[in-house]
Amino acid sequence: MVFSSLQFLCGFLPIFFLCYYAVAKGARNFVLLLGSVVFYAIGTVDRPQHLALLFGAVVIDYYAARGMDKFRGMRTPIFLLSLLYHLVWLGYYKYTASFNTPIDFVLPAGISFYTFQGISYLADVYKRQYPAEPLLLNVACYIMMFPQLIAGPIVVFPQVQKEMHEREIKKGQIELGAAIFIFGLGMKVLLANQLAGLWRDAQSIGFPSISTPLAWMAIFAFSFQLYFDFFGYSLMAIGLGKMLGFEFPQNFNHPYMSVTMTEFWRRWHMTLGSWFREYVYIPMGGSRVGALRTIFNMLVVWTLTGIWHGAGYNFILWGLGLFVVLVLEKNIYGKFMDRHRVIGHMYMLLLIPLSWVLFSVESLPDIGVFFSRLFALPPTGFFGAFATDYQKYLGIYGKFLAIGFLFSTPLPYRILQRVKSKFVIGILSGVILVASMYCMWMGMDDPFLYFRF
Amino acid sequence: MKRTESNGFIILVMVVALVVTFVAKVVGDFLEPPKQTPPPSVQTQSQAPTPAPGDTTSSQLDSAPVIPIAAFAAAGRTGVGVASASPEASSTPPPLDAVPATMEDTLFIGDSRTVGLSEYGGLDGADFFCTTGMNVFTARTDGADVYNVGWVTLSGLLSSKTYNKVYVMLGINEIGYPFESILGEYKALLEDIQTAQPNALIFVQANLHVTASRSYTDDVVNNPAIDSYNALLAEFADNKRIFYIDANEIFDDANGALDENKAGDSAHPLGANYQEWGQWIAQKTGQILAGGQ
Repeated sequence: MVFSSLQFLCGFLPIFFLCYYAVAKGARNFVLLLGSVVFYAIGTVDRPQHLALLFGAVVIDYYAARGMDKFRGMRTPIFLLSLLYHLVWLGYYKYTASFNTPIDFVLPAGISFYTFQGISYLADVYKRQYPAEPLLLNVACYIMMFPQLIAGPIVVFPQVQKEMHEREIKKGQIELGAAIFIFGLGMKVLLANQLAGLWRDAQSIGFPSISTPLAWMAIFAFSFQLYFDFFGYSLMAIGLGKMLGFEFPQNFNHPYMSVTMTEFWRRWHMTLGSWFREYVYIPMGGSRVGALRTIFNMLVVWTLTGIWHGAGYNFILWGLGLFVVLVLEKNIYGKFMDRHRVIGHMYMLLLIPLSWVLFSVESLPDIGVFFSRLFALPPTGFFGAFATDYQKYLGIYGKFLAIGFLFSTPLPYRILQRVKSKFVIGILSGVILVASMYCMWMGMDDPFLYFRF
Repeated sequence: MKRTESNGFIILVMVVALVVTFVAKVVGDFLEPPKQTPPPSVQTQSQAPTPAPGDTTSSQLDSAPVIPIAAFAAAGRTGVGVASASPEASSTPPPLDAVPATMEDTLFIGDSRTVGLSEYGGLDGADFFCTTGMNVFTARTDGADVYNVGWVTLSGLLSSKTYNKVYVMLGINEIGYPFESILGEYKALLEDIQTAQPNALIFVQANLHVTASRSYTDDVVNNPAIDSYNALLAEFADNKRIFYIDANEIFDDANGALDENKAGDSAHPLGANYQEWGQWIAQKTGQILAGGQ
C-alpha cells in the first residue's frame, strides 16, 4: 500500500488513527504494531512469505539483542549470526533472486530499510551503547512502524527509544504532522509524478532518437522526479511520525543547493549516509587511518552504497563514479568549490544530472547512447529524428521543470515557515490534499521510485 | 506488564497474522485461478466474433466505384507503369520492384501511434490529423493541430484540402467499448472521408499489437481483443477504394505481440521503429498501387 493511494488516504489512515487516538496511552504501541501488520499485509497480500520474513527479522533482532546482553561471552557469535541472517536474506532477495529474474519476482517491500534498521540496533547493542530493549512489542514497533517501514527514513533505535516507552501527543503536533504529510503528498503526486512523464517519454521514444536538448531536459526531469519523489515520501513519513508522537530524523536538506558532491551527500538521503558512516566507515577507521586507507574505506562505503541501491552493474558504476568524484574533491578541488560557490553551483548543475544517468539507465550500452545524446555525438548529432522534439516537451513539461528548480531552492520553504496562521496553513493543506486526491482519482499516480530498493 | 505488552502475546499476534495471510492467499488462489496465457495471435483470430451482416459495410462503401487508373497516378505512385496499376490485379503477387509511394497530398488520421509516426516516421509531405487519445468517437468532433494548417476539425481539413491517400489507424483507445458501436462510428468516419475526398484512396490500418507483458495483464487492451477488432476492420476493405494494411508484420515477435525490443512502452514503437513503419507504409502503398497487396 502506498501513501499516495486513495486506499491508504481514505481507508487505512482514518481507521488507524481513530483507533490509535481512541485507545489508552498504554495500548498505543500495540495498536501501532497491529496497524503496521495490517498495512504490510495488505501491501503484500499475494506474498505472505514476505510478511513472514519481516516477522523473522523482528524476532531475530529482539532475541539476538537480548542474548547479547544475557550471554556476554557469546556476544560476538550471536551478533555475527544475526548479522549473517539479515545479509543472507537481503543478498538473496536483492541480488541472487533478481538475477534469476523469474517473471513474477518481487522484492519484499522495505527489506533494504528494515534490514539496515535491524543491523543498526544489533550493532548498537553489541557495542553496548544501550541495553537490549526488554519488550518485543517495542522492537517490533521500531522495525515495523508503518510510516518508515518501506522507504525510510532509516531510523536508529535511540531516535525513538524514549517515545517508545512514554510519549505525549499534543494537538499542535498532530496538526503540524498532518500538514507535513500533506505537503509531502503534494510533492509526490503534483510534482514528482508529473515530471516522471518526461523521463518516461524519453524512454518511450528511445534514447537514440532524442535530440540533445531533450536529453538534458529528460535527465533534469528525472533528477527532480527522484528528489521530490523521495523527499515527498520522507516528509510523509515524518508527518505521520509526528501524528503518532515520534520525531523521525530529516532525510533531505536542499541537496541540489550543494556546491560539491561531498556536500550533496551530506544533504541527500541523510539517514542512509549517516548509517554507512556510523556502521561501516567509522568501524573501518574512517579518515583517521592514513590517506590510502581512508581512500580504501571510501571505496568500500561507496561500492556498498551503489550495491544497496540495486543489483544492476549501473549501480556499481554509479557508486564507483561517486567514489572517484569524492576522492578528487577531498584531495584536489573540493575546497576551491567551497570558496567559489557560483562555480560550485555550476559544477553541480552539470554533475548531479550526469550522476543520475548512471543511476537511472540500467543497461550499459544504453548509458553510452544516452551520454552520446547529451553531448551531441555521432551518429545522431544535435537533433534527433524529430528535430523540434524539445519544443514539444518543453511546452508540456516546462512549467513542472520551472517549479522543480524553484522547489530545489530553500526559498519556498522559507516562505512557508514564515506562515504562522493556522487558517492559511489549513487552506493550503486542503487545496494540496484535494488536488492530490483528484490526480490519484484520475489515475495520475505511480509507485514510489525508492520502493524498488 | 500488560497483556498486550507481553512477548508471548506479540508472538501469538504474529502467528495469527501469518496464518490469516497464508489462508487468504490460498483461498484467493482457489477462487481466482491463475490467468491463462493467451494463445498466439494466430489462434486468437478464431476468437473474433463474426460480424453481423451489414455491420461493417454500408451501401456507400459497397458501391464504391472502381478507381480510375488516373487516380492511382494521382495517388502518389511514381515510376511504375500505369498499365500495371489496375486495382483489379489485387490478387497478383506484389511487384518486388514497386517504388515507395510519395506522401504528397496524403493525410494520416489516428491516435498516439500516429502522433509518433508524424514525428519519427519520416513521412515528409503528409498531413497528420492526430492526437493522443483520439478515437472513433472523437475523431469527427474534436479538433487537432495540423502542421501548416493550424487547429482544425477533420471536416474542416477535408473540405479545405484535397488528398489522394488517407490513412486511418484508430481503435486502441476505445477497444473496451462494444465493437458494434465502434465499427458504426468507424464506418461513419470512412463515409465522411469518402464524401469529402471522392478521389482519395483510403488505407485502413490494423491497430498495432501491444507487448506480450501488457497483453497478458490487461483485461481490456490485449492482443486477442486487438486481433478480433482488426479482423472486423479488414472487412471494410474492398480493395478498390479502401485497402486494409497491417503493419504488425514488422513489429510482431514470434508470438504475435509487439516485440519488446521495438517497443518504447507497452503499446508504442520506439522512435527508430516509427521510421521503419513509415518506410513500410510507403513501400506497401507502392506495392498496392502497382497492383499487388
